[in-house]
Parts: sequence; C-alpha cells; structure tokens
Amino acid sequence: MNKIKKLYMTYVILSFLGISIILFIVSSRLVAYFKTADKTIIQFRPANQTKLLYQPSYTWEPLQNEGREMEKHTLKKITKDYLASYYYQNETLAGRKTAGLKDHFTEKSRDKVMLAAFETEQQQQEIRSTTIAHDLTLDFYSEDGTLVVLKDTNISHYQLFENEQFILSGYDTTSYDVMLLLEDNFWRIRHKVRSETEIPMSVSTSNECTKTEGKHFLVDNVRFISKGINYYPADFPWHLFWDNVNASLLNSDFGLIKSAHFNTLRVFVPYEKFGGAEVQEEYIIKLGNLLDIAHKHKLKVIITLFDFFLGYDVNKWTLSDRHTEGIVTRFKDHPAIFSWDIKNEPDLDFESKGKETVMEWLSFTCKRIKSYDPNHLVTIGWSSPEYITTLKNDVDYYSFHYYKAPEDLPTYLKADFDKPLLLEEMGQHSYSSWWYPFRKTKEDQYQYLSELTKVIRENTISYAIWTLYDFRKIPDNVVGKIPWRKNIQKNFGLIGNRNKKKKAFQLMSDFNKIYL
Amino acid sequence: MLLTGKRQIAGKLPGISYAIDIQEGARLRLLVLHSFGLHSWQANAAECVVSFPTSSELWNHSGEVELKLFFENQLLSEEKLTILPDTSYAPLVEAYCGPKQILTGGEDFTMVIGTGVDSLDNPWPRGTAVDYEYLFKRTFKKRSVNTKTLHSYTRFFSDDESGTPVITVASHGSSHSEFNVTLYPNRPETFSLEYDRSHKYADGKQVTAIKTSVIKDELRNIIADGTLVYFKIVSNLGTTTYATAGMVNGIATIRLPAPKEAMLWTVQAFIEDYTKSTESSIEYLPSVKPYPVAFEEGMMKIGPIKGFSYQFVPDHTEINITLCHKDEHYKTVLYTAGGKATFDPEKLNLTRGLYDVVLNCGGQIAYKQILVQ
Repeated sequence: MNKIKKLYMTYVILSFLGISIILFIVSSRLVAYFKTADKTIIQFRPANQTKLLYQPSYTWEPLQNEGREMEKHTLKKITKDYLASYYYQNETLAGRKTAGLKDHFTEKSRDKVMLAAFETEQQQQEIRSTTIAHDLTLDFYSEDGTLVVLKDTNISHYQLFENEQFILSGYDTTSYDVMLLLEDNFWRIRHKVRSETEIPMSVSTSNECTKTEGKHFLVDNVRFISKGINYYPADFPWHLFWDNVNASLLNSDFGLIKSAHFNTLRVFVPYEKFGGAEVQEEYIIKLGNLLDIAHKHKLKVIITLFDFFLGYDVNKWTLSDRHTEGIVTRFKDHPAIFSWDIKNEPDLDFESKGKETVMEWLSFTCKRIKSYDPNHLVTIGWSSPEYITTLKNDVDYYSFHYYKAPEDLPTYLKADFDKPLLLEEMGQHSYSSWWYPFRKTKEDQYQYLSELTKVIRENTISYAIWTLYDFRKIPDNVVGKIPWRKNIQKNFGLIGNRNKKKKAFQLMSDFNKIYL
Repeated sequence: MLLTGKRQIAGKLPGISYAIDIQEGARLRLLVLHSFGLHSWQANAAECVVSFPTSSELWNHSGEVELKLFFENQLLSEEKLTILPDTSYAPLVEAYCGPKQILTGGEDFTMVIGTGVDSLDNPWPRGTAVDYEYLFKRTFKKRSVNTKTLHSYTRFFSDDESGTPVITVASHGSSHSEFNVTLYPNRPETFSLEYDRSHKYADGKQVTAIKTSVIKDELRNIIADGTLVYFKIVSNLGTTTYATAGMVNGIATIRLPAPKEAMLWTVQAFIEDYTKSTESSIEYLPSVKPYPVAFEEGMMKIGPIKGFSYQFVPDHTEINITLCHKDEHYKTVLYTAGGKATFDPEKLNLTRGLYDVVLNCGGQIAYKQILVQ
C-alpha cells in the first residue's frame, strides 16, 4: 500500500511538473507570437527619418545643368527626396504599405509603382530590393525652382521570392531619366524612364600591399604565413573592449604578442558600438590608434567587421554599406591592415535570418569592401568549414574556425582549394571544475595545440589562435548566461588568471618561431 | 533567341516568346526589369518555343526593359527591349510655366516647359516638337523647340508695357490650357511729393494729406497697386515721424494731424531698395496771434490771447513760461480761461531781482521783464 502511495505521489508530482512545463512553453510561444510582427508594416511615414532607414551612396556630377543655377540647399533637398523615393518604392514592391510613397511620387507615377506592386502580389511574389549607389547628373532646373530633370545611373540589387521561397537574385546597373516636381515641399517623381545609356561606375585601382598567389599570402610581395592571435584584453573582452582600451594596455599586450613571435592580430568591430550607419569618429580614432600601435610592433591586423550585426535584410543594406564605407575607406591605406573579415561566423545566422538572405548580404559586402579598399584582402570567418567555398568568387582567401579534433583537420582541407586558407579561430579551453564532466586541463590544452600545430605545419596553413588571455568576465550576450558555457569561454587563453602564462603559451611561442 | 521584336509600343506588346532548344515542358522563368521595378513569369517550353503570357499592364511603361530568361536558375538569355510611347494619337501636352510674375523691361523672363505624354502617361520620344506661343497686345512670339530627354523649354522675355500676356503650349495638334503671366512695372523712377491742407496754422487739429506724384517705372508703367511707400517726416525741432502707405493708381497718400506749435516739416518718401522722392518742406505757422502781457501789482496778466482767425483760444490752452535770472531758470505752465491767464511769481518763491520772462503759447512767443521784490 505504501509502495502504491509512493508511486501515486510520484505520478502526481511528475504530471504536475509536466503540465507546468507545457503551460510555460505554450504561454511563452503565445507571447512571442503576439509580440512579433509577421511583416513590418510601416503605418506612418517616418518623417525626416528616412536617413535612419536608407542611405545609398551617391555622387553628383559637376553641375552644368541648363536653366537656373542650382542652389546648394535645393540640391540637398532634391537628393534627400529622390533617394527616399527608392526606399518607399522598394518597400511597396516588397508588399509593405508605405504612406511615404505619396510624398515622393506624383499621383500618376505613384499609380505605376502601385501597379507593379499589385502584379507582384497577385503572383504571390515578393521583391526585396535596394539601390546601392547613385551617380546623378542634373540636366535641367526650371527658373521658378519647381522642376528638375536629372539622370541617375544606379546600381541596385534585387531578390525574388515566390511563395516565401527564395528564387533568384541579381544586380542591375541602369540609367534613368527622371523628372521631379516640387509639390508641398516634396520633390516628387513625375516621370521616370529607364534609358538606354549605361555609364560604367568607376573602378578603383589597387596598390596590392596584401595579395594572394596560389595558396599563399603575399605582403608587400613577400610570402607571408599568418601566425595570428585573436585579441581581447583579459579584463575587457567583447563589448567592454572599445570603451576601456588604452594605448598603454595595447602597447604592453602587443609587445607580449610580438615576443611570442605572433605576426598577426584579429580584432572585432562591433556594428552598433561603432555607430552603425553613422560611424562614430570617437571609435574610428580608437581603431586607428590600435592599428598604429600594432604597426609599431610589426603586427598585421585582421579586422572583423559587423560583430553582433543582424541587419542582413536587403532594405537595410544601405545602412551596413555606410558602416563599411565609414570604416574601410578610412583605413584602406593603413600599413598594419592584413585583411578585412566581413563577419564573424555568419553561418550561425542561417537559421534565424535565412541562408540566402545572409549569403546575399555577404556577397554584397565583399564586393563593396573591394570597391572601397582594393589594397587589402577580404575573407569571411565561417564557423563551419562546409561553407568556406560557397562565396569563393567574392573572398580572397578561405577561413573558418576550428575547435574539433586535430587529427580530423586534414579531412576539411580540400585538395581543390585554389586560395590560401586561414584557421581564423582555433584553440582549446582549460576549464576544469569538479562538477563539469567535460573538463579540460592546461595539459589538455597543451596537448591539443601541440597536435594541431603539427597538422598546421604539415599542411602549411595560416592560423589565428583563440585567444591571448583567459577572461575574468564575459558579457551575457556572447555565449548566454549558462555558467558552464561562460566558464569555458573564459578559459581559452594562453595566459591564465593573474597573468600566469600557461604551458600552451610557450608551445605557441616556440612553434611560431620555427614555423616559416 | 528572342522572337518578340525589340522595339514595341507601350500597351501593345502581344507577349514575349523565345525560340529555345530545350526539352518540351521545361519550366522557364522570365525576369523583367522595367522603370518601376521588376517582375517575373513562368512558362513551359513547347516545341522549342516558350511564350510568356504577358498581358500585364507593366508593358504600359515606356523605356528600356531588360529581359532575363532562366532555366532552373541558370541564365539562358539576356536581352534588352525598348518600349516606345504610343504616338499614333495626338499627345496630351504637359506644361509648366514660371515665374508667373515678371518685370517689364525685357531683362526678366518666364520659363515655359513642355512635353507630350501618350495616353498611358509616357513622355513622347526625344525630339518631339513642342510649340510655344506668347501673345501680348501688339507682341506675338512663336517658337518650336524639340524635347531633349523628357522635356523642352523656352524663355519668353518681358515686354516694355505692364499687363497680362498669354502663353500657350501645343504639340502635334494638342495644346495645354493657357498660362497667364503678369508683367509688373519695373524699378520705379524718382518721384515728388505734394501736400494738401485747410490752412497753414499749427492748430493740432487739421489734417494734412501728403501724397506722392504718380510713381512710374522708366518705361512709364504705373507701379503696381499695394506697393508700400515709407514716409519720413523730420521737424526743425528734431523730432522724426515715420508713416507708410500702399500705392493706389501709382499714388501713395498719408494723412497727419497738424502740429500743436509752429514748426517746419521736411518730408521724404521711399520705396525700399528701389527709389526715393525729392525732399519737400511744409511750414506750420503759429495758430495764436501776438498777445499782450502786463505786470501789475506783482501779478503777470496775459491776454486776451486770440487764434489765427481772431477767436479766443480755447480754455485750457497751454502757455509755457520760462523765468531767467542770472544763471537761474524756472519753468512753469499756465492754462487759459476765457482767453486769458494770470501768473503770480511769488508762488515760485523766487529770489529778489530782475527776471526775463519768455512766454510761448502755440508757438507765439512773447517777452517781458519783471522785478520780483
């Protein structure tokens, strides 16, 4: 009887726990459902906020227009209104309702956009598009200042979805003849005609300070093997880095890195921290100082852009492009830069943002970085080696992150690699705690790296180890709040707490010294 | 190979067809990039031909269209097709004119912009002739200008006479509703002032009308009604008065009350940033006749004081009295009653001595010496 009672009690408790868990999951899903919009619906025109949403690059050809002489402030307003018209047109074609269409198209031309959107919707298609760069020529400005005719040669990108499935994508370079009328203080498009002439965009030339030759890197025309290290200071990893870093700390750490015969650093540029589309000068100066100090220590730097960035959607491309332009153009001639890494582990976003969406953005950003800085290499730091060749035409060298068994590494080194390879992150943690079943010791770390470096040497691969220091604290948004995940991440360093060098530090130092 | 002709008329495209060597039933996709976006259709290949049902109104937009043919996301063909505006019917004329107010004299101009659009709102092709006509009194100007990209334009310079010219824009037999442009007179010429008043005495009551001559530009056009004229009146006593008036029939008029005492006004009028009048003077005489002043039994007796038409001045008329003795000055004010006033110097607690007394009533000055005991 007692046994039956116990079983009964166990059954009740388990049932209660089970029902509670189910209720919790269902209610959290419900809350998430109602708090997440299916599609973004822009109910109100974000007055004067188009700049926050859409910033394609543009250039005006020297003004030689017929009619009235153009005023500077009027040209600024025309530019603002004309570029904004593309934002609203693209939003409409993507099936999103935008009140702004009315402000940027006259009634008759608005009908044409609406018609195109209607046709698309009828076929259950969705067109996600954006313009990237506009080359504008003012043809005519009327004497009363209410009418302009301009020619716009623009590069645009489009993605076609059918029944919510990605179908195809492409780039388009086209010229348009456009007539705009000033109505209610808005320059509205009256006529827009796709014209026959196409003006090629300017192509920038490279000084080729870093380049590749077959499977090898060349820096200033000398063969180069990157013996790199991912760098954050012990006290200021991730988001804490850029607000706390100072020259003396960098000098001391870079000196230490150089003493261990590393020749390359990898640092991260968080998208939001650097100001997003409006890159903050304060952080540009900090990045510049870091590069100067690295150069002083004869270290090359891989800059990983777009850290903690999720704006892959086409309608936000212009914002990420302004971020790219703001940083890359500033440092395109800096002697410390080895390469630009577009994004850290973008394949981890495939599930949440859609593989095609992420891949299209990566391809776009590679092209844009190449156009802003033809002097340096471009890569993508994949989390998994299976994706490394997917954008092979866009990257200059392959890179992925490797934390698996050293002996398995050769299986990922495909014979058909036609470009250099860099293991952008690799390493082993040394976290051991009595309660953690997968604990590793400093000796384990040493063993792992000694085996991995053998494989690296046999295959002549460049690498960047993760990381210099064990971290004292890690922000929650890096690996979450789960303690064992945080603790593992804290213990990947070659230098442990109280700045005590682990055995692996000497191993890497010795290896770097002999690895040529 | 694209079977459809590469130059099509807007709204009249029968469909897009390709001759293609592909297995029958293959599902092909056509991507079309046009002026206002892009579009895609799918169709099955049949007997080496694939036809896309393109009854879409998207073909209504003129301009270049890019066609891309895909099979299983492989680009098979990339062609360009030009959609031309439908010119088989007379165009609708789209025209803009401005500025609508210009100045006479031949230097100022209005700009007229014209273009033709077809029934589907597509601009007519480059080189379309647009006819502009300008009609005003004895002037008739006509010219034909071909469109460049989306428009043509012309300038009509102003005539010498003010008025309302009419401008028409036409193309291939259609015309736009006419534009009316107002020709305003140009920069006004220097003008003169004149004034009108009942009498010349400073009685503080009568109204003086000061008005400009008829203000005209150099081509003798009367300056537009409502043009603001600023008047500046400076008196010989150092006071300055400003007044403004709008012009009616070329004349601006202000009305001011006469001063209360004799003075000389110097008046000048301005049209800001353009021109000014000649200076004009207006003299106001005292409104009071010379009056007797007597000093008897320690009292000063003033009056009777009479006005310019020999009537007694109104009760409470002001008399300013100044008493001077060596470096001492005393001032006081008296008011008349029945045309007279009395003054007792003892009330001022004056020191003994001989005083010069100056009396001023309405600008009429009288002098008297008195001995204060």
